[in-house]
Amino acid sequence: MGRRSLFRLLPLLLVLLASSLSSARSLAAPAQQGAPHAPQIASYRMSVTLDPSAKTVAGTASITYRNPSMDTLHELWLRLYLRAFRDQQSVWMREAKRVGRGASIDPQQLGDITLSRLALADGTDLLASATLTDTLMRVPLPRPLEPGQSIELVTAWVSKLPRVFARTGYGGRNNTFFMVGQWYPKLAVYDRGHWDTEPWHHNSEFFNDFGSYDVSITLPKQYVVAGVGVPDGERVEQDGSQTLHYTATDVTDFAFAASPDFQTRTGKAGSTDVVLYYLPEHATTVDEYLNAATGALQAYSAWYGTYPHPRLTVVDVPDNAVDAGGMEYPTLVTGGTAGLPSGSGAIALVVAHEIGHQWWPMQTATNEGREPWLDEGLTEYSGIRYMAEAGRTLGFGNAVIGADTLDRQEYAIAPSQPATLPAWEYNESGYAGNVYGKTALGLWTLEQAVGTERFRRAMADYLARYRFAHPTAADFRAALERSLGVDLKWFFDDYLAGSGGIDYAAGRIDNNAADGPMVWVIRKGSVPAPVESAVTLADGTRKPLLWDGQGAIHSFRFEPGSQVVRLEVDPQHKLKAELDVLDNGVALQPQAGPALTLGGRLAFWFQAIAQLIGLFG
Amino acid sequence: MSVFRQALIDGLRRTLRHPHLLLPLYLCGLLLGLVQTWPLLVGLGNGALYNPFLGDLANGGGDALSNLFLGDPVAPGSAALWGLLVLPLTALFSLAYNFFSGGILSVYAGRRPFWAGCRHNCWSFMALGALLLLLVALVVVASALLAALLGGRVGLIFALLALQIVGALGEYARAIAVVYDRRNPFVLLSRALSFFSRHLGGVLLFALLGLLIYGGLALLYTLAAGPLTQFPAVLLLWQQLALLAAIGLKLLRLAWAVSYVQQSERAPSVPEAPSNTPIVVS
Repeated sequence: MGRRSLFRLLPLLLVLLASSLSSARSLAAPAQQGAPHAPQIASYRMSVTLDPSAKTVAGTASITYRNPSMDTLHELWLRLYLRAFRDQQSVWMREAKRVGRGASIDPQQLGDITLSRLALADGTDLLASATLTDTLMRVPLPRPLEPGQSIELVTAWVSKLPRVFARTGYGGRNNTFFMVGQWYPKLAVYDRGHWDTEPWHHNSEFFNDFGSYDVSITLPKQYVVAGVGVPDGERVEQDGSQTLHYTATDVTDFAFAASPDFQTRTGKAGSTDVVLYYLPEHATTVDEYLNAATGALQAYSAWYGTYPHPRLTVVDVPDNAVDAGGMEYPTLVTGGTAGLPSGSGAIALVVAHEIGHQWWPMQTATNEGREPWLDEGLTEYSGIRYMAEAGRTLGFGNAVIGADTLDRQEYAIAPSQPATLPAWEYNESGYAGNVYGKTALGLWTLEQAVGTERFRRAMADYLARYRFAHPTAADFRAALERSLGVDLKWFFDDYLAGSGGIDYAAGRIDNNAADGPMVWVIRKGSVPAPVESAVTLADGTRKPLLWDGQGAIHSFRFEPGSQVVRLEVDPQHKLKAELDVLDNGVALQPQAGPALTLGGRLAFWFQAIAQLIGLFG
Repeated sequence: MSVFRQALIDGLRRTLRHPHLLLPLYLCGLLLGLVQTWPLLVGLGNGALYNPFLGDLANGGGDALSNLFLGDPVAPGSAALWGLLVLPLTALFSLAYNFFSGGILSVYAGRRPFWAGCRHNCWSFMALGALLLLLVALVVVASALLAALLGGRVGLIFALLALQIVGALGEYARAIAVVYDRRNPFVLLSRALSFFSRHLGGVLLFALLGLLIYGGLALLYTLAAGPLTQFPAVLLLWQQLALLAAIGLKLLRLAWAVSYVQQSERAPSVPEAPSNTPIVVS
């Protein structure tokens, strides 16, 4: 922890003031290419060479880091992610092994990253005094870095890519597809008085500072490259290879994909170019990719705030490299068909989800390891809401489900865990079910409770307040409560951070009560979410019933002389996070019609299966 | 080619002449289907299983089906049991096919009355069915091996083709059994194989024709089923009609097999199927 003084705070205050003015401008109008709007904390200028036969990326970089804190820094921390795949002993691999994932990595084709140089711009060596632990390198500074002061590092390294694994590596036709992610020496984040020195965990993703990237990629000329940011020139080298130049501002990372087979199609979402890099074998999925990408980009821009970049790149991945798919980087997302034919909705869901990340966390750089629900949960919510509003389902023909149902299925696997734990405290299914599913379904339930318009406005307020910053869960809660003007204890404390769930049941119907018919609604779950119910009277009249969920049971009374024939809890299915809906209704009449329809359908399917198999030969 | 054309027309004529031969298999399937869904129907019909999602579920909603599983801890177990019940009931239907196909083919070949044909071929067709099952198992193993060696797509294509061939082999083995009055299932299979080798083109053409008609039926069913979900009663009727048509197609394939065997091999001449053959179905 560094020492503080008012004098030392002055430069920082000036910088923060400039940053906030810059952020305020960015809210008023979409960002223009090349004009930074985020605080430029960690910026990289890199020259790298991809060697497709050796499966390596060798590079040199100049990294400019500005101390964004009010503390004096005496050391820096670098993240060397590919070291997670150098052997089976890394934290990442040990955790992966526990859940059976590590076994899928090819021990002959592991990844690694080796630094051959790390120095200050004046040539002062830093490598000799640096120490390595797992995926982290601690770099003592020869001179303290004062608040607001900048430092320039120069480095040279070689990254060895693994066979596609955990979103990075090579694969595809004759191993000519490359997804180059988590691949260069990257500065860790100093935030709220300390360096984020958590090693890279199996479930966990990243925590990054904003900055600018200027990257030159040299590789054989037959390769087509899809990179973060915008292409900004190319040249042919004397040896016949090509060097492609990319620039990106207001971003937190850089990644690129390369393949000689890539073909491109471009769409438009407002003023943003959406460029799809797809493989010829997936040509039939191009429309699905582009429709989802442009649709999601426009939807989120309308809901939360304008996408702040001029270009979004979507990368299709080969079927034998699906582990490279479904990943997000600033201005670049990867999809993939996973071998499914076009029209299953899977591409749309993955693309819509990954594009949601362009807001969470690419504009709100949250700590994805410590509070993963703040990016994956908000993004999953965005994805399933987009799918619902676009009328997209998963499956074929009549055998379809909504994207929210998929989340409910995952959430149901381990429903008694909080959604707010650090990534490393979950197992694989608990992570997916709670961080993604429970959060997304909860947010949709909250949206239904407060109204879609109000909820989206609150989300937009949160983004406006924390765009290009490092908000926490507390910031998110405060922003929503302030915007909605309500106490959201039931949502944040009881639901998200709690181990219970939302569960209501229809109680008794008593038409013989002295002062008129009565019905009871019962809260079975520990979360007192507001709930709507409805009764149907004997004359066919429907009456809505509202309950704020406080207490264990709630009764409703009706006019004497009337007769209740049916009670339905949450008839419009607004409680998206409720898993058990089978007890949400009681009726005094049998349901002969639906029963016969359902029975007839089941009998048909049995007959069809029996005929298909039984009439063989 | 004239033999093929003659068998084609003759098979069609024989199928159309005896449409009531559809009924035993159809009724058998319907009965087994009702056996399977009866407990659910009773539970739903008396209101014991009321929930507001039942309408969605009845209309084929995948979300509602998923809710059923998620909400009830017993549901996955019940569904597994229900799924397991499909196996013995399907096996029962398969036995019914092995039994009735003897009668159906006997009528088509003009050999015996329906019930006498059923009884006469019963055990040899059961044994033939078991042999075919064994062949299917071999196809599955070979496909899995191919998939592992050459990729899933190759394995799948091989499986689909091989299953078509094994299926056709069974049909011709049954036809040969009735035409030549042979009962040893091994002999039937080897004679069917031998017939294939001599008349490969015709056999493949009939198989392809059958597949095309089946594909057309499936397409027709799917096209109409979507709009008909708004009219549950009409959809039920449409579904049962589709099932009847599928059985009719199977009988047509059997009739083609009988005709082709008789026409090609100069088998004992084909007398007109006795129009007054007593066929009693219940």
